[in-house]
Amino acid sequence: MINIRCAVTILLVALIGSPVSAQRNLTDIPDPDPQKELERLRVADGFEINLFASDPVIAKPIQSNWDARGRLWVATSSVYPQLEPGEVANDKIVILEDTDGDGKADKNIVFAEGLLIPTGVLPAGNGAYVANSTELLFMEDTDSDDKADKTHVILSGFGTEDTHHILHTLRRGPGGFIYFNQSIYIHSNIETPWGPKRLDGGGIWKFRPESLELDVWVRGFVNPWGHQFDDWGQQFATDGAFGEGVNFVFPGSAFVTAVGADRILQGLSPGQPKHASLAILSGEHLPEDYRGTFIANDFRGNRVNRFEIEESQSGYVARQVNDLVWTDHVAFRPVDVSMGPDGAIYVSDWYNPIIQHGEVDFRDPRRDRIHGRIWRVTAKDRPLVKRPELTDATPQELVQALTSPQRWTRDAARQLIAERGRDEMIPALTQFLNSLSKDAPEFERNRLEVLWAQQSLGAVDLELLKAVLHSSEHRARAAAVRVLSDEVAKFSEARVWLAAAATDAHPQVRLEAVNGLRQLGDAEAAKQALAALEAPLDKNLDYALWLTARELQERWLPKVSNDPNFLGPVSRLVFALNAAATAEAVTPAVKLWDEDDVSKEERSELAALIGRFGGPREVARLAEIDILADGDLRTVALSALLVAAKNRKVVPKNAANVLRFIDSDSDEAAAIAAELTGLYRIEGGVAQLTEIATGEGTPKGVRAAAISGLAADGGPEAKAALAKLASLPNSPATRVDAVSAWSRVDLQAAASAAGELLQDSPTEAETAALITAFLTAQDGAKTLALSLKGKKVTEPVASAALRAVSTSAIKAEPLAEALRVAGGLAELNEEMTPQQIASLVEQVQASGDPQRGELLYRRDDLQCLKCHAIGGAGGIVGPDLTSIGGSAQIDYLIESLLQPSSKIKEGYHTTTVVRDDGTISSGVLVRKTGEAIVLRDNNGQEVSIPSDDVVEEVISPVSLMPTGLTQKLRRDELVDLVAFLSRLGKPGDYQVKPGRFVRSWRVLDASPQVGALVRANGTGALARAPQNFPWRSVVATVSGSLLLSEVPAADFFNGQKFRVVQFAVATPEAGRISMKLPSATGIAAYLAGSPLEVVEETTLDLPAGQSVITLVLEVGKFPKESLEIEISEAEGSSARAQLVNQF
Amino acid sequence: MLRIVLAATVFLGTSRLEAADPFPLENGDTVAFVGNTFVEREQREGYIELALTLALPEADLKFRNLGWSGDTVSGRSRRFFGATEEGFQHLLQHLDIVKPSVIFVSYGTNEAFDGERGRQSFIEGYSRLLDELQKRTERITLITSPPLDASRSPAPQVAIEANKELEWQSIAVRDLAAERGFGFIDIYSPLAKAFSETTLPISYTENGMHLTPDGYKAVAGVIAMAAVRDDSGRNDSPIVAIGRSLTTPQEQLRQAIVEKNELFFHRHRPQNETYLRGFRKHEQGNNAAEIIAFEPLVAEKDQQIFSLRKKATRP
Repeated sequence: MINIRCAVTILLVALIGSPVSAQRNLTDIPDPDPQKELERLRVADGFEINLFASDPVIAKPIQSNWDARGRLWVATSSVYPQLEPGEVANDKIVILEDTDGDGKADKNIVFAEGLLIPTGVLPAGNGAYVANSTELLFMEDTDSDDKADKTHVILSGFGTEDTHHILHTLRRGPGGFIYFNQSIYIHSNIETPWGPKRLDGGGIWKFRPESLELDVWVRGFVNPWGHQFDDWGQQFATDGAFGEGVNFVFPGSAFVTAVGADRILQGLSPGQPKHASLAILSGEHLPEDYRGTFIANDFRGNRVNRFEIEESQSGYVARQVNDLVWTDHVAFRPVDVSMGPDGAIYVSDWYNPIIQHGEVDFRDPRRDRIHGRIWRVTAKDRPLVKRPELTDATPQELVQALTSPQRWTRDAARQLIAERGRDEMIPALTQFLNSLSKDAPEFERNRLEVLWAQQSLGAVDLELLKAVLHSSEHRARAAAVRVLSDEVAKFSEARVWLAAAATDAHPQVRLEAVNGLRQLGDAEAAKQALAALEAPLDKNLDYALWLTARELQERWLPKVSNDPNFLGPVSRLVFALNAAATAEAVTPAVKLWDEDDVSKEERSELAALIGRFGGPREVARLAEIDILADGDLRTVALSALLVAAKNRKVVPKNAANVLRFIDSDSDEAAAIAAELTGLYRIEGGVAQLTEIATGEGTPKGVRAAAISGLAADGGPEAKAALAKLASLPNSPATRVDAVSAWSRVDLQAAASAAGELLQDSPTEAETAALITAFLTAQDGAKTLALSLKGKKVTEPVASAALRAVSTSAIKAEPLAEALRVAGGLAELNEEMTPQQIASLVEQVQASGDPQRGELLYRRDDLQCLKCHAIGGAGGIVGPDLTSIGGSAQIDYLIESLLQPSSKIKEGYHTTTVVRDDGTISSGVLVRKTGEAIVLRDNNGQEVSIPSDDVVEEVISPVSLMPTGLTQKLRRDELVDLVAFLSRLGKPGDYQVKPGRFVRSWRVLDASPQVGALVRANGTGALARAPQNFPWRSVVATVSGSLLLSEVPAADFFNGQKFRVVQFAVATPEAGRISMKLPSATGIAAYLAGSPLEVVEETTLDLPAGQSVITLVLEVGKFPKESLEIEISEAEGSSARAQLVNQF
Repeated sequence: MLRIVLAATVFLGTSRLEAADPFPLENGDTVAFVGNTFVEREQREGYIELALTLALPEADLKFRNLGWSGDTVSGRSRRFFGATEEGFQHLLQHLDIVKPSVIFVSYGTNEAFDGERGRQSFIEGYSRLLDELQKRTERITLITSPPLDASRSPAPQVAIEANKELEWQSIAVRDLAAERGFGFIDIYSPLAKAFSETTLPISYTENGMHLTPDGYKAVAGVIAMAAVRDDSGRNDSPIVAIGRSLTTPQEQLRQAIVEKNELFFHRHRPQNETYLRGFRKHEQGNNAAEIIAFEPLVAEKDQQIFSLRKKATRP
């Protein structure tokens, strides 16, 4: 069989010619013979793999789903990525059948052709739903010859702005719904008989085929090609372009990139490779320890990953375990995965050395358009499952199939039951329900299956629903609440039941109830949902309740205005008002402010709300003397006043009060008071601010705020003060702050001061701050360029300044030129000819040393770590590079290093915002809501621009990555760096291991002051009061090692040296966690402030929440050169831990 | 079928007293259709174009369909990453690709779901759109939106409410046309009448909303008859012939129209917009030349349509 296939493939290769022969001239194109690929595929112990189907029968399989007969329907596309002019779109839906059960498809039928990049197929009834670019089609086979002969457009208007994001992942869920996904660049506008439905950006749609009800179910994600339901109807998704592993999704949930969302949720394994597709293993063929685990495709890393998922409060925790399939064959691209009717696992292999979409030319000849495979993974020496015969089964047999241990069989039975209709199926379902014994195993799940079957038939029985709602099994209760939420309009009891579920004993049920009440859409429902505050909220519940309060705000806010007690206890009103985030919430918030029974924490939340939305009268309450005099409230109130003043220019009548707090003990309060003094233009303020700015002992932050205050004041007196500060001798930092601030009020004068300042050799950071100030000022770059005329600056200063210019999205070529002239620098020419790139590629492959490359990657001056993470640890400005080598070709890596703007990853384009005062901000868009646009700048800091101030917002084709970084490298070093990057994510030493190794570290910076502090208070002080010590972040190597050579050694006690390092662990629930150390010698450890007894496998008793662990390593005694720490669950403990990357 | 066409003719007879005629089409005209899903899905059917083509056997007419699902008078569906205003600008850019001498406009279905409170913005938006269209040509005809068929809708109550707005729109759009001296074709009324007939033997909608091939045939008859001012009601007129099953040459002509529409779709609404013309054009913008390369292919199809028309209209 395989041999015949090979012959056909070779023939086809010979015939097709052009793309393939073009490929031969390029490097790294593997032999497309399936047998050759098979020889290089590796599977987990106890498994084997065989070829189920291959090209030419299927070319480029994208998504597949099984029909109830056990045939695999595959959507395939040769047109992808883009139709060529003159090419007739002729993509196909192929049906593959294994008629003799030998594990190989022996019958294949082209069901439909003439399609344009079909990215999804779901068999149903006498045909299939097909995702066909802008349309969801139902293609019908009216004469039973397995060929579509009638096409119905079911929905139209899906966006196609990017063909690897278009309508995809068709999935049937319990209860008769169909779900499908779209990705980040897609904007869909769909007319339905219920009204137009629109979704901008990524998300998951939910669709009821009979009624054509269409809803946006989940929002966000970059490219979510995985979606699956577990046995209890809980939903999970994976994202092929964002590395957070498996995501727990629920109605209304929003994730990264969700357009317009104020809040988002996270996946279960941040820092994981990115995954396409998702399957939950089940059935008797597989070994027991594999059942219930999740598999997802790391298509960049040419492997199929596996996860164990467990419940944790209202959500789940995930742990990556051994891979199911992996290979060093670079064209193995697992994109879809499912369980088959025989209990085996089927993996669709898109087979392509190129997987990038926009970054690689659509017409790059290395793009493969003709191959594709489906592999079948089976457990060795275990019997297969007998393939069920369901299509001709009696109603009783179908219902019985709902009890099968095989998920495949249950799914197929569910579909057939819905298609057979009520008349035929309801009697059988009722009979089956009556026969179920409460004590039988799987009673709860079987009964739930009946409820879902009833729902798919449009015939939910009230008594059954009520019974499942009162089940002793929380997962059944949660599923029943979901069914009820789907059908709220049909049951008059819905409200009472949902309200009861909102205070259920289990958080999973409460989560469903809070979401269901949102569907009711009235003030009463909001009130009932807020009762969930009686129990602690985890992050899912907190989000869901926030969303419910937010979406129903127009309903409950008027009620609260009439009756402040409408929602119940004060805490519920405070929660709701915060969620509302609208000016309407301010009046009730001020009323509450006057109440006595409001806690300090609640008062802080109210202050923030008043600051965001209040007018002068409301804001004045925060500036009252007795509030500002209250040590607990001062900073909170001042921060709120600052928000009001900066974002909305609100000045209260009693503004002058803040001047009294300008010398507060707390630096934070003093800084805000100083800035407010300027913003409010308080009489006498300029003199005070000047005094602070010039004061000897003024902390850095307070001084900067005072200078900023002077600029905000902007009067003649303030300008004169800034001019004086700008020429202050011996205070370069003050001068930089002053000139930067001055540029906002007197650009000309500030520019000439800046020209002089640059001649005085400021530090790199100071130079960057100064340049950034001018770049963001209206006409700032131009003016600074003019002032540099005829001036000379040193080469390091000019380089630092040029770096600041090149990392900004704001175009400033005249300034760059002026800096080059002033610094005597030649223009960087980073362009290479194709021949030069080819020779570099060859050198990378021949002699590149990834080990040396990794050390270069870690070098401070190259700044890679500052912006990029691997395995979740590192900077967040640029994309995570965990799998970059698996997805990007070497020439593209080189190009991206030399010209960062030539290829930019989705979600990392620079957004530039111009404000009404002419100032400009640029960075990566984090979120955009009605209230503000939030950008992340090139230092990883979030910058918020109030929506009212925005004049212009442009997405620019510019990367935040500096150009010229590679100038610091010799050619052999560049070769090594590229070799390292090209290995990332590929099988081997540079693929992130599945274990939870500590990757984000904080290490103590050694200095004499630190030594003194430790001598006075003991090493325990480092753990008890870490805020008193200077730390810096260090990330582990790809293999998970902290290199001790990168950790400073501090001399604490007369020549005895120590290295002090910290990491953080998050545990949703309290419990025991195991920490494995490479050695227990010469090491002291602390959990929070308490010392731990150190052994190589130490058990930590962790409280719920985040814990910091401090390790003190004695130099000379600790025997290792690196530190690898693995965290895992302790035997017998239910606690689950995740490492924290940002702490 | 015949009945609906005749019913429409009668209706048009009365409406002509109040609103202007559509402009007669002339040899060499380029006709643009703009609108929402109703216009977009005609691309797959081709009946309206077929009827207009057959109705003017001597004229070489080019039709360009710029319909976009879910669209509104402000171009809501065309905004991509930008604000709605950008959608409006895109709509105008789409027209400028075509440089039409005649424009048929049909909007309102999506606005109808906003209820009464959406009326003012609908008329304001429509007027603004017409201001812009008028800068391009004076030969503009406004077509009302088809009604919803509540009896076949999965959401009958929603359909009944939306129809109140669509009925109101049909008058308001007629007034807009009259004010500006534009053409006007009412498809709302004849279809609403047909939907109210409980004995209607064929289904004009897929889902109580979007037209079936039979629905497009019915509407095609109304539009073509209005466009050539044929109110004779003669059974042998080529327009009425659309309503019956097509002859082989007519079906060949229709197939060519559908193929031309698909080619033009790739010209007007190419996939990968983000990379070819959007903010990632620095990566793939070199391939944007391929979009233009569809133009000669469309022109070739136009020629094929002209020659097939002659065959299909030969007595």
